[in-house]
Amino acid sequence: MDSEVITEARPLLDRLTDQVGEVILGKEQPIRLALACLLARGHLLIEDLPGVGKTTLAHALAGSLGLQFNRIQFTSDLLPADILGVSIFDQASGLFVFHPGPVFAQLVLADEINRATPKTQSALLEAMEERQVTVEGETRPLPEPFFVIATQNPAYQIGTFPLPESQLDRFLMRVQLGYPDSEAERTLLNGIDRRRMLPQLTPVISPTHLARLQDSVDKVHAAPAILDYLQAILDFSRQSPDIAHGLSPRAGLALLHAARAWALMAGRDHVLPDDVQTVLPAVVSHRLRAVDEGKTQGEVLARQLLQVPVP
Amino acid sequence: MAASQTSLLNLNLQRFFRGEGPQPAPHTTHRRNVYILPTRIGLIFGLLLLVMLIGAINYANSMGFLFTFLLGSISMVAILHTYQNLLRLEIHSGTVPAVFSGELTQLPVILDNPGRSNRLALEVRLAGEELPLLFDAGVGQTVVHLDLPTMKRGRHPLPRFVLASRFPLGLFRAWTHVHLNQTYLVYPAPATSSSLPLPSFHTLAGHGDQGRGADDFAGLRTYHHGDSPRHIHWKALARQQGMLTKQFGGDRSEELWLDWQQVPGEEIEMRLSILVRWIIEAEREDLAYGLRLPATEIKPSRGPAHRHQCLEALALF
Amino acid sequence: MYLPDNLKRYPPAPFLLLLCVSLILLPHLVRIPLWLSFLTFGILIWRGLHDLGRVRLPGRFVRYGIILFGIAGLLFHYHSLIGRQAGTSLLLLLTAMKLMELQSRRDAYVMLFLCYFVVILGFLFSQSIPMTVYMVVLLLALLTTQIFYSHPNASEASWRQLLPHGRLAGRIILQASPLALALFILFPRVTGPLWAMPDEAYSSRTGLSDKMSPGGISRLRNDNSVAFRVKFAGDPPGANQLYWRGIILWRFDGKTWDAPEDHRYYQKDSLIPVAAGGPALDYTVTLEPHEQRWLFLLDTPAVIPENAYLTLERQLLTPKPVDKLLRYRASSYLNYRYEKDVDWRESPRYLALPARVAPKTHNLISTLRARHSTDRELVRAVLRYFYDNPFYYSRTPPLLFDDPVDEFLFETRSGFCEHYASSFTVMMRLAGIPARVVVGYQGGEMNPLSDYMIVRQSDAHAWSEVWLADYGWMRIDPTSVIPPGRIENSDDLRRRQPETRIARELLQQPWILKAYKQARFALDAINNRWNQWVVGFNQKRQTELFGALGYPDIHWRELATLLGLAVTVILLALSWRLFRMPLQKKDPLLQAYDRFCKRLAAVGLEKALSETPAQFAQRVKKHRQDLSHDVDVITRLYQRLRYGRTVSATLMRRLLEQVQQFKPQRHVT
Repeated sequence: MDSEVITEARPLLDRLTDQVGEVILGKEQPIRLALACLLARGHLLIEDLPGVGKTTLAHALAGSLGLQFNRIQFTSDLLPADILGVSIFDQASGLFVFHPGPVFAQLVLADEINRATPKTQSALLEAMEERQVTVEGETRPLPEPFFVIATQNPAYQIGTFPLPESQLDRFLMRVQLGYPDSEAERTLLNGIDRRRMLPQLTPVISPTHLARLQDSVDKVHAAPAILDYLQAILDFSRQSPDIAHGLSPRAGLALLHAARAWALMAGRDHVLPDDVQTVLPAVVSHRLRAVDEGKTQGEVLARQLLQVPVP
Repeated sequence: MAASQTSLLNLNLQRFFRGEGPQPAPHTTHRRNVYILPTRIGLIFGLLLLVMLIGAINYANSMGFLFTFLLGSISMVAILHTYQNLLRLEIHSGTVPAVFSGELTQLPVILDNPGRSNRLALEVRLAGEELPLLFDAGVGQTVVHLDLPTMKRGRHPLPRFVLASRFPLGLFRAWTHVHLNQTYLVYPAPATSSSLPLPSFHTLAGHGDQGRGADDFAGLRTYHHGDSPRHIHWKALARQQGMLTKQFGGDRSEELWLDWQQVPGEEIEMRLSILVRWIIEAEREDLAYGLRLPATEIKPSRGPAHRHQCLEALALF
Repeated sequence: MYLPDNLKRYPPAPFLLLLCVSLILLPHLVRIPLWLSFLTFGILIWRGLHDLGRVRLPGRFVRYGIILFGIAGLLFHYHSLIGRQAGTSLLLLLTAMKLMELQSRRDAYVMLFLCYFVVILGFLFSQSIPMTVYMVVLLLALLTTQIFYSHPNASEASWRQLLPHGRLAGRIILQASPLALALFILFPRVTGPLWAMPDEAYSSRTGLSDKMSPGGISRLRNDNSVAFRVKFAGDPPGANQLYWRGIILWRFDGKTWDAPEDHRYYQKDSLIPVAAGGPALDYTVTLEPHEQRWLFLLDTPAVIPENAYLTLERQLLTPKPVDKLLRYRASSYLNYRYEKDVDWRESPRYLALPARVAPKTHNLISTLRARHSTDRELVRAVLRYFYDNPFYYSRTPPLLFDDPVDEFLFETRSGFCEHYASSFTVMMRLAGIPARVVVGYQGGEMNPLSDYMIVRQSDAHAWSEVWLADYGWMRIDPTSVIPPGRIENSDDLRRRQPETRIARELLQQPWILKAYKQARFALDAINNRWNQWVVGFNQKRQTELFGALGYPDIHWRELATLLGLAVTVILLALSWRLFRMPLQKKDPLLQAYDRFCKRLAAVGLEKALSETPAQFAQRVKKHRQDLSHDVDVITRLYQRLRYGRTVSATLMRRLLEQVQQFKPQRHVT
């Protein structure tokens, strides 16, 4: 692996983090995780209460990365076509002309995805998975890179359609922003509205550069010991009496990918167990379901997985 | 005091002869659950050693002494080797395939050998059986299948089996009782095929059968585990559109209900056997069938999982 | 597979078994009757062909027929079925026949056990080093075969198991040997047999016999085998004093000297008193078994060795024939005189001669007697007669017929020690001087590589003893007066000057001969050690050994306790070795890191299983800032090596060094 990509990755990504961090105060870890998710070509689910800065984060990321950005606010009456786009008969040309929906953007913010009906949700999720959209028999590729940040209010809010587990699996990570700490809170209250800073953000990185970084994620070395560790984690999840369904092979791959991305961000050409442990809660907590359904949070289960011996 | 000692002795003797009773898997062999005694051949060897020793003493023959002592020491070393051959093994059992009562099923004995040396000439047999199954366990996992005859329907606890070895010299036999607290299922034996034809089942359902008929093509849906292979839309699969199942339907689809009440006769076992036979027949004719027992009802369906569900209900009836 | 007890399941084992049986038979072949050798090998071949699927095994009647035939043959040959030779032959026959009915695994084991028994029987005949080595090789083969018989499912590629199974057998033998050695040394030995052993009527041992007629000793002249070995407490005596007294022959029938058993003259514990002309010389003799009862001591014994009788002639006898290596301590006066004794001139015992023996000699003695009145002068005159007349020392003297004494003294005048001793004694008796013949060994050579003397069969010698009224018994060696010029064989000449012999030989002979001689001495030294410490290890030796270790007079109970202790310790050590089964061999990298963790654990910082190296390092640094640098370096190296892309020997070495040097101390606060 070309060492220059590695060496230049770290300061670049640090700068990105800093820049986004100026907008979203005191949330370095979620920001970095979001970046790792992006580098690993995965999609991100942010789950939190309204008003903690989910949308701002998406905006800031888009701005700093110089990505073309679209926001879709999910509502219960949103239809698949509202996302994917429609073909409309053009009187002038006498042809059906495709009007691409908001999904045709490099960074899509799907706000409050659990407010839409399952049908609409799955339209987006299938697009995420396949990175292409098929409307009326015609397949159209989505732009590259393609990164979806979906936000979701916690399920106990009224009038929502929680995403089923099979769909949740399509998000590489789920992060929670949480309330800012008191210091950040104070800065926030004192300072200007952060959202006003957004237009002033300048791209730190070009899309081609980003693509190159994404490519190099795959080349980060995962030693046999790391693979052993991942397997031990997967095995543990499958054997644990508290966990209803063990982690799928896809979850294992996701974990590996995320750990690689995290290692790249740290400027390393190989994965350490620490990388795995860092990304583990974000990657697995939304994929785990407790046996005593609903009582134990995925986070708690993910913490159990951290107890797996490191080989 | 004396009483407690007696009971302790009893307990130990029982452990010696029968093991410790059902234990959760895996059964790990260690110094307290592996026993060792000389074999008949070993006793004969001991006698021979005694004769040799008397001869050596009588003739005051030094090399006679040395050789006798060497053979004696070798047999003592053999104790250690034989014992060691069984130590630190992890034994668990795979799932015993459910069969009809009276058939022979197989108990997969899974042996994990974490050491670096092969464990040679291991013998495993069900408690009470005569002939052991012989095998070598290399490093890692070894699976052997013990023949397990079935007698009665129902869910039975896994029988105790004995893992033993006489390697390397045959003078001693080390053994361990493996009694795992697992169960296996035995279906009732099917009645002989000629006994009864399938009941007349063309019950007309009032509504469609959600694509479970067999006549009219009704569309495609994604493949679900258990769908009959003959309904898979292979062309779609070839076009890489994924596994799709063709759905057939229509109002005049049939539902076959195998009903306890329909079975003639009084004897419970006989009636169960007939139901089992019906299930076999229905499977063979690829019919969807449901099972209605006094306490249970299983909706009509087909496929191995469904078959198992029905047979299990009968086995546990 | 499920298997019945069927021999088909052990492919190479029957072949190995046949091989073992053949090897076991081999050393016995010279001992058993020829027809039995043919019979047993015939049976072996039969079995071999059967194993190859060529022939069927004989029916029961044929088998019993063969056994009966064999037993009849043995009875005819040995007149008995018990006893060492006959018993061994019978066992060999039965072992071979057992092959004919080998059907099951149990049969095979019994067969193997029979083989072990035959092996141990072999030691009754020879306990030499080569034999022992051979037997150990046999044991290896037998054990390997036994392992094969205990590994029934060796069906596929079972020949490939030969090496591992052989290695296992070797390992078992090696692991068993310390235990066997402890048993050998510590097992309480008893003296004497548990029951009377049948006498061996068919001995083919070499050595002196209890009769002497010309030709008897010369047979031994070419026999270089060892008669006995001697270890002197001090300096060995001079060559002219090395007269090893053995048998005293006093009855003469005109041709042959012998000594009929005469229990009247046994004395158990008192010695005919002698006046010593100096201190007694102590030495230890290790006598090769010669199947006779006499012991050899330097002239003349000062104390009686244990378990020996002394006859009137100061001859030492054991109660039983010496049939195994015998070690005895002895002590002799080299200069001595008999105290006052019976006047033997009054008794016919040492004067009797057959009637009309040697008339010419009688005349000669009469003439000499007339000239010399005292016995002492007469003795001197007779010796001078041998010196003055042309008597020759020859190994191949002419045969003597009617009257050996006359013919030798007046016609052939050529002979060896027997002729001289015999004639001289007869001459003395004719003169009325009591005289007798002594047969034993003269001389012996020191092993230059060790500190003991070897006396060979070729050192056999005969001389006379005469009784002088003013002196008592006196040793006279008439052969010694023959001047060197009349000795035909240069070997014999050299034998007469033993004190210079070895040095001269070593100086004069070409190096190859020298090397050969040295090797022979070295070999003999080894054999001697073997005989002393292994073959001759008995209760006495055992007591001596513990005496030397500082436990004199060790009781068998203490021995048994010690034995129990030793066995326990050895078995514990062995089981520790065996049960501490090596799991998958550990990566040196992991080992190094483990060591690092262990050292930290020793100072109270234990790595949790779920902790990553980095987290652990972080925690350690928080508690122990003094270790921070080392921990950082080691952790970083370990991470690079374990999780990194490249394998670097340099880094590995650095890590090992670092871990080696990493020795955290407990906090001193």
